[in-house]
Amino acid sequence: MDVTITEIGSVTKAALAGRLDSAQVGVVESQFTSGIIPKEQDTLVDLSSVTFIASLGIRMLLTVARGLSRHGARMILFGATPEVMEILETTALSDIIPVFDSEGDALAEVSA
Amino acid sequence: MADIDQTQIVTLARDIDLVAGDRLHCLEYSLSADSEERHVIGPLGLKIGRTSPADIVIADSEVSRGHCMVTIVGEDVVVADLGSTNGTYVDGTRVTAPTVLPVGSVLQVGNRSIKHEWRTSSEIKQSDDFNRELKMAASYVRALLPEPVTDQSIRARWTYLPSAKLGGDAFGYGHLRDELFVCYLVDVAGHGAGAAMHAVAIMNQLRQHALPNTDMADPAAVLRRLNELFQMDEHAGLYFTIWYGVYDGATRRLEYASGGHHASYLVSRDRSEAMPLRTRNTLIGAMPGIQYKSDSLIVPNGHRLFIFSDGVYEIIDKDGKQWGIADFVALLQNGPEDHADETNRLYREVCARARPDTLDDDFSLVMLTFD
Repeated sequence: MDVTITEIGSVTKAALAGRLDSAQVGVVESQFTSGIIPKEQDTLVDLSSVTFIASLGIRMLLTVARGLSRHGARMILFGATPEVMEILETTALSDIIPVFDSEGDALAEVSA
Repeated sequence: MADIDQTQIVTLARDIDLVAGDRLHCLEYSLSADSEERHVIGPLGLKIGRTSPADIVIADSEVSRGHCMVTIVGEDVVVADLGSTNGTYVDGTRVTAPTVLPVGSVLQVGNRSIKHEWRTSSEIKQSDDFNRELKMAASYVRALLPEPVTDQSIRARWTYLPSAKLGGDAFGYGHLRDELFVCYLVDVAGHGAGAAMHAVAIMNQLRQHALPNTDMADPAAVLRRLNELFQMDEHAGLYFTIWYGVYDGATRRLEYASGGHHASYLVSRDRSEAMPLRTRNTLIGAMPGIQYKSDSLIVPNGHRLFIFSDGVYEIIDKDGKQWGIADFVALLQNGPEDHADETNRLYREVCARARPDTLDDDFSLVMLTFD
């Protein structure tokens, strides 16, 4: 599991790659959280290279999204594969964290 | 008894200076929810087989009498198959010649998965203490689970096997009032005693049928109240999913709601139909003020309801494929039924297909039969 955090103007972009299973959440959670929340700005999370998300992975996303919202910033997910989308849909996570198809759509949402 | 044997082996290993930097190569495995074994690999190695005098005896018909041998060669641990019928596997690959067993790898012998760990003696003690605490927590969760029901118009069976790390699964069922029968399963995201304690707190609310100002026969109202009571910010960042149903024996109507939980399945008597029962609602505790939706249907005679946690199907199979819920539903509808013990049959089927290191979450499966 890899995390790559970059910035697009005043937006944080975090790209996750690999299986976000229980073991891997333990490996990347600290980097993911500390790389996003202190910036206190809208954040796009690229899921296009994520092959699986376990419940602890959902928790990691939720925790950071809630951390951002306390600073008035939003998290937006994009690029989920059909398999990952099925997991997100099961939890109805998109009711809390918006999910878009592409990076362009996600960026347009935070720019709106 | 196992603890005593284990301690003796560790002491022996230290006395004969087997310890490299105070570390010991160990083979570790779970026997059941409440029982684990650790064997330190000594200078003579460990022989694994179905009968004594093997050092590790596995009473499994798929294991040969003398199945394989694990030895220390230089700084490596090496496994050699002893001509077994069903083979020895390291991380899913069959052993055809003496093969290094890396630290962290999983040795598969018959249906038993054995992990190679390299531990300090203090780690072994800490791990023993930690496992003891987890076992106590698992025993407590298990004590809250209902007895199977075999002699009423609604029959209930279940299989519950907490993972070695102990997850946050729990479930319950029983009569609410009159002809109303309630059933539910909760799955707290996380592992360890914290997740189990959270599951126990939720269970205690549900078992008493005593959520404040809530009609326990109204699944959407129950989920809404749980969401108010268990917001993750106030509960150590823990959220959970739930499936909650209420069956009215007078009308045969089942009303249900799920909060972030996958579908339960209503399977016809002949198993030709498996109907997913789920309402799209978000996780419990993730955000305040959510309204939850329920749905309902009439349950035909002889249909069975399967309620389960994601640990039942979130595995990687031996071909390397990530399973989804459809793979498990196929098991519900196919294969020879075990009428006396169907939930355990399904557990065995999943185990037989799972890559051993991926069956690492609680396995909770409840089957209700509506006559």
